Amino acid sequence: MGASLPPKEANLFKLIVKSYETKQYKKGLKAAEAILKKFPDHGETLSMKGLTLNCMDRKSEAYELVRLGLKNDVKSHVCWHVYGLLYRSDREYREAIKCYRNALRIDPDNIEILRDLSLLQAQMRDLTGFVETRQQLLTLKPNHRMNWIGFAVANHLCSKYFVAKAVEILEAYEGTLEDDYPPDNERCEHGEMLLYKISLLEECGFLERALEELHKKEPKIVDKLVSKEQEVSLLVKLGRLEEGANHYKALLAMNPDNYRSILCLLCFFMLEDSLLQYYESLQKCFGLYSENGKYSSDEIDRLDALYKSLAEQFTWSSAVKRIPLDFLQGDKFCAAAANYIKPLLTKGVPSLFSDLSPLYDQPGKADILEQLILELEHSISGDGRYPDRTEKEPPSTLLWILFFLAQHYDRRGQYDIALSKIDEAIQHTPTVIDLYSVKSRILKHAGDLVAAASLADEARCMDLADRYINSESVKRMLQADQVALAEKIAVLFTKDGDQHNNLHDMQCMWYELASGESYFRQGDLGRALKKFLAVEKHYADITEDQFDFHSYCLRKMTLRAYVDMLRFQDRLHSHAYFHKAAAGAIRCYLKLYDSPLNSPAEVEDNTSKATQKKKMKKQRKAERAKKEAEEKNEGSSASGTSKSGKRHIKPVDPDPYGEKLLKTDDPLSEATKYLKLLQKNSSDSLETHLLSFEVNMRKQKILLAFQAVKQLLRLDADNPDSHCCLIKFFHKVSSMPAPVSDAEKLVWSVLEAERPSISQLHEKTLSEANKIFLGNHEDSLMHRAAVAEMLYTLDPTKKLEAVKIIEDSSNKIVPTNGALGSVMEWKLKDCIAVHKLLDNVLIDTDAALRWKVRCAEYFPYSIYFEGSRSSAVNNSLNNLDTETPLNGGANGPDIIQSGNAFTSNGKLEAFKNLKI
Amino acid sequence: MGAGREVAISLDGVRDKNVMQLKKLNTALFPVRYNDKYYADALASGEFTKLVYAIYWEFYCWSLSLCFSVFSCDHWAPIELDGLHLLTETVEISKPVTFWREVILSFPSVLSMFVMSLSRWLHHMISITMLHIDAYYNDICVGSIACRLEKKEGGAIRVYIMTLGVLAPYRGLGIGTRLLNHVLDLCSKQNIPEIYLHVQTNNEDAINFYKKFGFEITETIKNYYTNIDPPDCFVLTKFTTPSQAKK
Repeated sequence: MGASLPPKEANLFKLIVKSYETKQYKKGLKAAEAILKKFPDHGETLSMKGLTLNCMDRKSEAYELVRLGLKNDVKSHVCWHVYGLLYRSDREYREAIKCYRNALRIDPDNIEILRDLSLLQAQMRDLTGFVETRQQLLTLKPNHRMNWIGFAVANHLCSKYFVAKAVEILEAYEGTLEDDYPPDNERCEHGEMLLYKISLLEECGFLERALEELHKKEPKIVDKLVSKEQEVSLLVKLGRLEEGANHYKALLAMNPDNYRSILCLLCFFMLEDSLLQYYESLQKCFGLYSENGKYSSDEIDRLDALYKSLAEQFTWSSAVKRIPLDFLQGDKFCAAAANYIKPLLTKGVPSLFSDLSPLYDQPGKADILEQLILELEHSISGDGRYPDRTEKEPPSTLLWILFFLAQHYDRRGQYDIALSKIDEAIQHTPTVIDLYSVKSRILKHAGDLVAAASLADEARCMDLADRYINSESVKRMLQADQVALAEKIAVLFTKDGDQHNNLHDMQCMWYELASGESYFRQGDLGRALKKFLAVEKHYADITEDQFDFHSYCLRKMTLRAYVDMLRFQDRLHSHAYFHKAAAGAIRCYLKLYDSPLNSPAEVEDNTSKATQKKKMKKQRKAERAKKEAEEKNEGSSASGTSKSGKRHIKPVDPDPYGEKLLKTDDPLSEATKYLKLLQKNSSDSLETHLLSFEVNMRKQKILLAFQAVKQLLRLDADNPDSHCCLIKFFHKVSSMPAPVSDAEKLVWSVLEAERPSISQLHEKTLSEANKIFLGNHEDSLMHRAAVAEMLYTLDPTKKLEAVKIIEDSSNKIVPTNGALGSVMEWKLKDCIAVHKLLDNVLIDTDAALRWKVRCAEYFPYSIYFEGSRSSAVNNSLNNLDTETPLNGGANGPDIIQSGNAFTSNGKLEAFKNLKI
Repeated sequence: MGAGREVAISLDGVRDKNVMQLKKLNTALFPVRYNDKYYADALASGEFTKLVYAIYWEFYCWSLSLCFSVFSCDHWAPIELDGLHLLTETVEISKPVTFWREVILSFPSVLSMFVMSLSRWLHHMISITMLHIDAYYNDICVGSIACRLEKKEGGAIRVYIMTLGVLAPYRGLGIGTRLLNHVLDLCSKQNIPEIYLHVQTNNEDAINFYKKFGFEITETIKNYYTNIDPPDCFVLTKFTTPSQAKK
C-alpha cells in the first residue's frame, strides 16, 4: 500500500487508511490532499480520497475519484478493493464481488479482501464461492479460530453432502486446542460450538456419535437446557424411549407450562403402547395434535389418564389442563372444560376466549361450551355461586361470563345476541376497557365499521397511556376509511410527532398495510402504492440487515442461531405481510393500467374546473411542503456539518402523495416485478395465481396466463375464482384472430395440446362447462355468482338469466344446537361482492337495489347495505336523540367529540351557583 | 396451611390519562352530569380524588415459618418496596396465618413485586413453594371518590366531597368505607377541619352511611337539583377538630 510513494507520503497514506478506519474522515481528507499536491495522479490516494468522501455523503465525487484512481493505477489491489467497498456501501453486491475478484487476481493472498469477499458471498448466497474463499482464508491463517469455524459453516450451508465435512473441520479444529481449553471467558462460545457440532452430527445421521459426543462434552456445554433437549431428541431418534421419557419428565419439572415438552412426552406415551417406528409415530403424534378427532376412543382414554397423572404432579401447570381439551370429546370434554374455565372466569382472564377459540373449529365443541357457560351464567346471576359450590363468587365473575358469551356469539355470527351480552356486561361494570374493544370487534364483524371505529376510540380514551388500544383504534379507523383521523391518533404514540417518517422507521407494517388498503378503497392509488411499496422496502431492509451478522455471528459463535437466521432469510418473502403488500401493489398497478391517469390535455376536457382547482391547490400545497422541508433540511445540514461530520438529516420525501409512482409508463411491468416475488415465495396461494392471471391476460402473455390457470386448477379447481379464470381464458383465446406468425402458431399448438388434459373442458363447450359447474355447486352463493358472471361474459344477451341465477340463491340456516337464535349461511363479505357484481359487471341497477334491500335484512348492522341498525342510518336519529348517551353506545362518526357526551345538562349550573 | 379468596383494594390517583374512567363511573352512578370544572377540580385536588380498583386473589400458605428465612436474610433490606420493609421489622418466626393474611391484604399493590422479590432471592430459600399467591388478577375500577379543596374566607381550607360512589355489583364489600377513610385520614393529617357534601334528601342509605363516620346534617337546601325528584338536598358536615371549626 502506497509503496510507490516516498517515505513521507507513504506515512501520510497510512494515515489516510487509519483515519478511514477510525472514522476521522476530515483528517484523512487532509492527508490525501497533501499527497495529491505532490503526486496528483497517484491512483491509490485518489481512490482513498474517494472512499473518504463517500462516507461524508459526497457520493458522485466519490465515484468519480475512485474511478479515476483505478484508471491511473489499474494494477493496484487497493484501488480495486476501494472500488468494491464503494459498491458495497451502495448495496451493489454483485458489482462489489467483481471488484474484489479483480483485487484478488492482483494480490491473491490478501486476507482483508478475502474476508470482505466471503461476507458478500454469504450475503448473496454464492455458496460454492463462499466455501472456496473460506478455505483460502483457513490455509492462510490456520491459527485463527474464526477461520476454522467459518470454513465449517460454509461447508454446512453449501450442501447437505458437505455436512460431514463440516464436522471433520470442527473436529480438526478441536484437535488444535489444548486440553484445558476453553478459558473462563470463552466457555459460552466453546459450548455453542460443541452444540453446533452435535446438531451437525445429528443432521447427517450419526446419532450414536452425536449422543456420545454430547455425553463426553457435557461439562463444557454452558446451555444446559438446550443440551438436555438435544439429548432427548437424540434418544428418541435412536429409539431409546424409556430413557427419553425420563428425560422429558425432568424437562417438564423445569417448566411444566412448556407445550413442547408436554407434547413430546405425549409422543412417548403413544410410542410405548403402539410400538410403531419411532419417527413415523413422532410425526403421527404431532399430526394428531393439530388435526383432532383422529384419536380412537381407546387412545383418548389413555391420553386422559396420562394428563390426569401429570395434572397431579404439576398442580400449577395450566398447559396440563388446557391440552386435553383438544382431544377429549363429549361429556369428558364438558367436565374438563368446566374444570379449566371456571377458575379463569373467577380470576378474570380477558384472553380466555382466544385461548379456547381453536376449539370452535371442532364440530360440536362450541355447542357444549355454549351450554356450559350459559349454565354458569344462570347459576351466578341467581345466587352468585357456581353450580354445586358453596363459595360465593366475586361480582366480577358475572362480568367475565358475559364477556366470554359476547365473544362466543360473535364467533358464531349471532351478532344480535353478542351485542346484547356485551351491553349487559358494560352495564355491569362500565370501567373495563376490554368490553369496549370487544364491542367494537363485534360491530366490525357485523358490518358497521364506523360504529366499530367510534367504540375503539372510546376504549382508547379510557386509557390514553396504552399503546395497544391506541393501535387498535387506529386500525379500526383505517378500516372505516377515516385515514386523516387515524393518522392523528397514531401520531400520539410516535416519538417526535413526525409520524410518517417515524412509523416508517419503526417498520410499522400493519399500519402501512391498513392505510394502503384504505387509500386503495378510496381510489387514491398514488398513496396506496406508496404504502404498499413501503412495506416491500421493509422486507428489502430486513434482507439487508443480515449483512452485519455474517461476521458478528462467526465471531460470537452463535452458530445455530446464525444458520437458523440464514434459513429464515431465505424464505423471508413468503411472510404474510409481504404477500399482502405485494398483492396490494399489483392491484394498484392493474387498476392504473385499466384506467390510466388522464393526460394533461384530457384533464382540461374532462374534469370540471372545481376538481382542477382542487388538484392545483393540492399540488401547490405539496410544493410548499417540499420547499419548507428543503429549507429545514438546509438549516439542519448547516448546523449538522459543523459537528464532526456526523449528521442526522431526515431524508425528505419528494413525493408524499405518490404522484410520481402513478406516472409510471408501464404499470404492468412494475406489477410483474412484485408478481415474480410472489410466484417464487408463495406459490401455494390462490391469490398469487389470480393476480398472475390478471396481469398476464392484460399483457397478452397467453402461455403465462395459461400457466396461472393450470396452477389455480391444481390448487383448488372448485374455487369460483379458478372457474372464472378458466372460462375467461378460453373465451378470450377463442375470440382471438387466427395465428399468423410462427410464434403465435406455436402458442396455439401448445394450447390445443393442453386443452384435452383439463378435465373440466373435456369434450365440452365453455357454456356446458359453466352449467356443469353450477350443477356441482348449486347451494353456494359465490359459486352461483361466478357462474352468472361467466354466463354473461360468454353471452351478454343472457344477462337476465344471469341475474336470475343470483337472485334464486337462498340463504339457509346453519343447523346449530345453540340455545339462542339462528345463524345464516351467507357471509357479509360475499354478499357485498355479489352486490358489486350486479352493480358493476352485470350493470343491472334494479337487481342491485333488490339485492341490497334483501341483504339489509340479513345484515341489519351493515353500513354497506344501509341496514336498519347501522350507524349509517341511525346517525340522523342519534342527533335528534337528546337523551344522555349510555356507556358504550356508539354515537356515529363524531367520535372525536366523545368527550362532549358528558356535557352538563343544566343541573350543573345549579351546583355552581350554590357553591360560590 | 391456609387458603382463601379475598377482595383487596388499591387506590389510584386520577390523571389526564385515565380521567375517562372517572367519567364512565359517574355516567353509570349518578343521575347528574358533570361539567369540565368538576374534572378540573378533581384533578387539582390531588390525593383527595381516587379511583378504587378491586383485586380478587387467592392465596395459599404453607409452612409459614420457612417464609421467615426469606425475609430475614440480609439481602432483603436493600429492596425498596413501599411498605414491605415493615415485614422485616415486625415478622417473628411463628406468626399465625391471620398475620400473613393481614400483611398481604394491607399491601395488595405490592403483591406482584412481592412475588418478584421472592423469586429474586430464591437462592436463599429452602423451598420454593412456601407461599404461593395465585394471581394478581385483572384489577377492575369499581368506584371513586372526587373532592374539591375550597378556600374559605380567612384562608382556612375545607374539603368538599363532590362524588363518592361504588358500582352496584361491588357494593357491600367495604369499598366505600375505604374510600371515605382515605379522605378522612388525609384531612386529619393535613389538619383540615371541615369536610362537607350534599345528599339528596331521600337518599337514606347515603345519609346513614355518612352518619356512621360522624357527619351531621347542618343545612337543608331547597330546590338544589333541577331535573331530579326530590329537588332538595341536605348538607352533611364533619368537623374533625371542633375548636378550629368554631373559628
